[in-house]
Amino acid sequence: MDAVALGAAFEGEAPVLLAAARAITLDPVEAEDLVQTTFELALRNVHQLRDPGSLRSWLLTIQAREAFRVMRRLRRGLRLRGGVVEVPVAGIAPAESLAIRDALRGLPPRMRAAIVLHHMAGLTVPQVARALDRSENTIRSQLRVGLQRLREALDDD
Amino acid sequence: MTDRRSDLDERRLPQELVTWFAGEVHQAELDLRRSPLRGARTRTRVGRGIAGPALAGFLMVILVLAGMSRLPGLGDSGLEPTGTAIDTPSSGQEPMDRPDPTVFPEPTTGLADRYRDGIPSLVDGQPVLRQEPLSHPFPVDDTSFLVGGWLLHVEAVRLCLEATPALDPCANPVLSRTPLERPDALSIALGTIRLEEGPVVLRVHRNDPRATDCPADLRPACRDALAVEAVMWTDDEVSRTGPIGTIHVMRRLASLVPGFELTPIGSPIDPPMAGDNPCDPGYPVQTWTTPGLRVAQILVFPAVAAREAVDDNFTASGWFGTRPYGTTCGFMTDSFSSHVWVTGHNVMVAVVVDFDGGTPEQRALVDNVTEALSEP
Repeated sequence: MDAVALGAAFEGEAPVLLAAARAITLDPVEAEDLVQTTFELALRNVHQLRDPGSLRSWLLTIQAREAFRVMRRLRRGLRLRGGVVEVPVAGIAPAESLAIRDALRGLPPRMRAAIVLHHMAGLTVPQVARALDRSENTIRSQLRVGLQRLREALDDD
Repeated sequence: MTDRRSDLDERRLPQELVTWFAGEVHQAELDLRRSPLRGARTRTRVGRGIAGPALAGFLMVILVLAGMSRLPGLGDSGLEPTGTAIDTPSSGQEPMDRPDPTVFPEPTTGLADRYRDGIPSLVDGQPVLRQEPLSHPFPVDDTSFLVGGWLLHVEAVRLCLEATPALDPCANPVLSRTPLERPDALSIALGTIRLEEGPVVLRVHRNDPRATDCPADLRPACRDALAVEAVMWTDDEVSRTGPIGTIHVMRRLASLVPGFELTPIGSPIDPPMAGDNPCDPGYPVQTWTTPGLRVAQILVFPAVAAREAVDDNFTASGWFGTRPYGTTCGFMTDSFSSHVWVTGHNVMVAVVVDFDGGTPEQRALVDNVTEALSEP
């Protein structure tokens, strides 16, 4: 895939990337920056994408890695902004949508990212492990614990 | 809800998450569909006779270019660089300006031997060091070396009255890594040399013997001061900008934006992003960004005509093309961030404005930048 093809394909993947970025960062502005940076990084490394069919997982991997680089920067105090934006979600009532978002907020960032990438964006456990730079066993454990915590948080509602 | 949640078993919750995420994707799609259009329309123009299509999301262009330069066949094509494609197509082969007969720079050709801000990275076969974390460290002894940076006259009151005048660490001007004064700007001892503000390359040394004349408490600072031996290069056709000079642009913006700082796009020690490809949109060497969320991009062109050429040639859908040696290149003119591009004379500034039209502060900043760029 060359840069032109990537540019066209990226347009189709951008909504998934942005939704995943919002779910991971819980910050709409940071999420937009993240998607943009992901595109930049993807263009720089487009020659590394061997299988165009795995474009989405490749982009999500780049994005997840960049997200944690950004989070490290945020933790150093450069800027830290929060806030929940109420987003109307098709198929789920707004209150429940916010409940899920709040439940996600209660998870540690990497656990949240694992949940988002695996249960929402559809990456396999090995792909999530690669994206988050953790072992597959760690990811399985985080997914198990993460789901349990989400369940508890949602039950509390 | 509690009843419903109580049966969130192993299968049910993941299913809920998938449904929730599908809604998020749908919302993202709507947002992305909406934001580029808004970005393309939120354009402010300043000055007379400026025409051209909307230029939204130039940031994306820069990002694309930053990426393109690293693609195989683009950044390492082996072709001879030809300088900026803006208005000096043959400038790469021309000797640089020599503003002072006592200045002895070797002709610096093209952009191959330049830092991202246009300052040569090689003069007379000798590397030019920069005050950047990634650059080579400065020698710690009294060895002569070349240093590049932005010579600035600072306004701050600085008191080092007891220092020896030859190496006064409080003296004006200073050498900054950007065209805006920074707290870590280097003290330089120019002696009798007089220089205008601007990008320079100087031959300097540290640990000048005269440092022993400084009082004990200032002696370390005097030793650290860069004692200038010769001026090796000053502003030339690659780095020069007008009618609003780069330093003046930055000072005007700094007066408007709290906490304004500057960083080049990409690594500061990378070569400029301008290249020789047919998709080159003609971004200037003086392309900067700022941390924070107020100003995303500052483009300072060599001249108004150069800025207009870029302005006029952008299309709403972007540029795609093929280089003579077959590599494709592409640029998008829409981005996922919402910016208002303010244009004045030879300058373009992308002010960040939220998707919903912006906060009062953001809109005020657009107005203030517009005004700041309307003056020559």
